[in-house]
Amino acid sequence: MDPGHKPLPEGVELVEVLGKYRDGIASRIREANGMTEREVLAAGEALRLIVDEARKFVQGSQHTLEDIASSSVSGMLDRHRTLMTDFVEAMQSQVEVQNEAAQQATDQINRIVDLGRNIQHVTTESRMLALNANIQAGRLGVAGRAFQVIGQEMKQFSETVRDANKGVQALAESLLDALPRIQNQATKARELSEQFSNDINARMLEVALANAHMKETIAESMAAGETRLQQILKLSYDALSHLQFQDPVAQSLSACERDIGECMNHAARWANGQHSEEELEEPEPAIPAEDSLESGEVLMF
Amino acid sequence: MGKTVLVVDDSATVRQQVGLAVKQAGFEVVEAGDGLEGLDRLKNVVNIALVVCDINMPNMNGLEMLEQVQKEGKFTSIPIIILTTEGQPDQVARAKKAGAKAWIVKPFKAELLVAAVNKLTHPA
Repeated sequence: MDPGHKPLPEGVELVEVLGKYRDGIASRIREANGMTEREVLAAGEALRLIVDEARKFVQGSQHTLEDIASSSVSGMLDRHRTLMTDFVEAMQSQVEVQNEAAQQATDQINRIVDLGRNIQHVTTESRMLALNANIQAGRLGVAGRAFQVIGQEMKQFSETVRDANKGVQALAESLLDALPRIQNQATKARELSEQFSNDINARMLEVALANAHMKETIAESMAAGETRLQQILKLSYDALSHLQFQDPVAQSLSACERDIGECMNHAARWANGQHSEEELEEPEPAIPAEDSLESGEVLMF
Repeated sequence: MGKTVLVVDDSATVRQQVGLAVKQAGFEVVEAGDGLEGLDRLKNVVNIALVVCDINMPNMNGLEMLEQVQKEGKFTSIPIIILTTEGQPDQVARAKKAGAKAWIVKPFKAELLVAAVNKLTHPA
């Protein structure tokens, strides 16, 4: 016997002492398992919250960007372009109507001028007729006085008609002079409206291009957000893989607890002289079969 | 409501980790702590599209649950993935015979688990 060894106090059994140690170890194992389980669950919950927050943020940003991208800028531009096109078409149509009306007026005034020439010819002949009537009245003397009255009336009538005709001719010439100017003004107005329309369309094209560029940028931002989210998901998967240490550790510690209990059973049987020869042999370590599956392996049937 | 995955495992941490992985892939999750609870969930929860099941559990282990499902014949159309630390060929063969569609050895890679779940719930 080892000289430093002190025997157990009388009345105290070795098995009893070992039993207390076993209980203490088992208690600590359960405590450790409980603690790792609580902490891993808390870490898992934190991981879930991180991923949820990241997902909410990315999806919220994407919704905002989608709203911006689908805003009515394009629709507004289309509506403005339609309005402008309608306006210019209405303007051109109006100018065409004005030109047609001016042309018709010109034609009619020209006919009035022609009629005026005819009237002038008629008044000239009337005057010649009145003159002849006066000459004939002079030759006939008293018997020709009626001719003289008719001749004077005809002369007066033809002079009145000639004066009126001159007034109409002057008015017609004035209108013929004014109508081309009206047509020119209408044509200029149409040209100005076309120029204005072209300028506005060019500005709207610039806005449309800027809008298209903004949409591209938004699409890129959305894709970047999705990429980030996928990265976060991948990192969370990695974190999940790391958190899996708890289960095998818990199982190993539980196995230790069982082994210590078994050890106690052996010790008790030895103390009571009830052990067998097999129990004295060193137990063979469990060796997994060569064709056992490896950790992480996935086998689809 | 999306498709639901039933996770049967006596470890709360494993249930949580499997749940997180499949939830991130868009699935709903219900949990059970052993084979008996797993059978109960199968019978009482609608819309279960797939089961992820451990082997070593108290009361009723995963293989027994699998064989019970096969025996009852009511839920055999629901694919079952075995997720366990075990990898012995005899157990793998027993699970395959009882209708399991995949066997994954812990610790698992979340991407591979989700890929298997997606493959079995969205057959080509």
